Amino acid sequence: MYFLQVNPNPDPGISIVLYFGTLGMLALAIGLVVFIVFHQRRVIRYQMQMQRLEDEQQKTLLNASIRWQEEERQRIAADLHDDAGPLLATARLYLNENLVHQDMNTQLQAIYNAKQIIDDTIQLIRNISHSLMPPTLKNFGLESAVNDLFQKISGSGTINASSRFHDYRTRLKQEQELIVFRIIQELINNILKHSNASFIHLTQNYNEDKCFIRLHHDGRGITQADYDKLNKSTAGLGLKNIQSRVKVLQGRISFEKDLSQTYYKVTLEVPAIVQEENLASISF
Amino acid sequence: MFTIVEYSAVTYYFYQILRNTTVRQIVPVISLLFVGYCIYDLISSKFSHFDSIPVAIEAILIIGFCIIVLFEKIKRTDTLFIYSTSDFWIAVSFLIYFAGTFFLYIYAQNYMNNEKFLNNYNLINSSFVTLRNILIAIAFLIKPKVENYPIIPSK
Repeated sequence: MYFLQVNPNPDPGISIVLYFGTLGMLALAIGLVVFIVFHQRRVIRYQMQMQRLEDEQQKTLLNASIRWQEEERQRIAADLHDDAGPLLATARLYLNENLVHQDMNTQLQAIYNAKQIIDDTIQLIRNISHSLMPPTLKNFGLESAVNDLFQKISGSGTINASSRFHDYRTRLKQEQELIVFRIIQELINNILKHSNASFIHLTQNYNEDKCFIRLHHDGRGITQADYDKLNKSTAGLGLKNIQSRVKVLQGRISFEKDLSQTYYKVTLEVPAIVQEENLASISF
Repeated sequence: MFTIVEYSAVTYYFYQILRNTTVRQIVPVISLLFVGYCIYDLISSKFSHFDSIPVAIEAILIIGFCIIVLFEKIKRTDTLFIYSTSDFWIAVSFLIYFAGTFFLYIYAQNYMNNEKFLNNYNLINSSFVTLRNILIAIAFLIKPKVENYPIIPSK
């Protein structure tokens, strides 16, 4: 600025410099304002699009959750209606009013049969109840419940299932354990239904306030790309439920094939501390 | 003298609407330094000529504040259209005014005695003053929105 004023003599070309300089500065200022206006509109439009996509995703997850709940209710209703109902009806047949007119042996036989049927019914209802809420989980924690589950799977003889908790001295919260157990159940169901695997192995360990649970199997699995694609489609109800639950836990889940290409791995990452209101938002 | 008053008024307004704490801390320091320099220039020149250098520095500072205010506005997501706020129009008015008269005031100190320059000066200065006033009038016409955002500490 000082050097612009060095020459005190009037310069005929000064007008040109003045006008060009003024126009240049004006053009810059207007260009800046126009850029700011259009940039802001683009940012807002992008944010609205992101919000729209998130809302759609939330709606998809909610629909999947509702569908899953309805299917679960139908399954329970079917179990009770098809299994428990006929059993109790049969027991009632044995204990009808004509029993008092029968001889002692017939009466004893009828009572014994009815007792057997009632015992079977009790066991059936206990199984239904345990599948809804395993008491081992509530009383002894996630490690015991998972070990129990894997033992039952191994016991069937069709697949070799094992689990190992390396460091579970600090338990997750009860609500977190329930959600994690449901995720593991869903993953196991999918493996048993679709993968044709011969072994499933689960490991757990802690790392920097995060609990890592890894599930390995040697069957047909899915990669992260497959998981993302299935989640966007209307199919894959179980995976959508997994996604909802992982979101509630504020955790992460990843699907990958091992580097040796021999087995598939699912890694579930759960933070040890999570907001209380998130855990209360989902119903089981 | 007019430079000091003009700068103080405009800077005070921008200081009120700025939300970044770092900038809010820097503005008073810069302002003090600038006013100090203006007073020194005033005393040393003994009111004998147009204060081109202080005006040019003032223009640069206020253009900078305008740009900071505008960029702060676009970061906020509470307003869909940035030009629906009065702050935007006031910032634009001062930006265009000081940008347009920047070269004019630089040459003013040495060429005020030149009749041709004086005609150009009057033309350009009047035009930009008019434009500035029109933009400020637009700002006054816009209904004020109650804004309740806090001062953001800088990271």
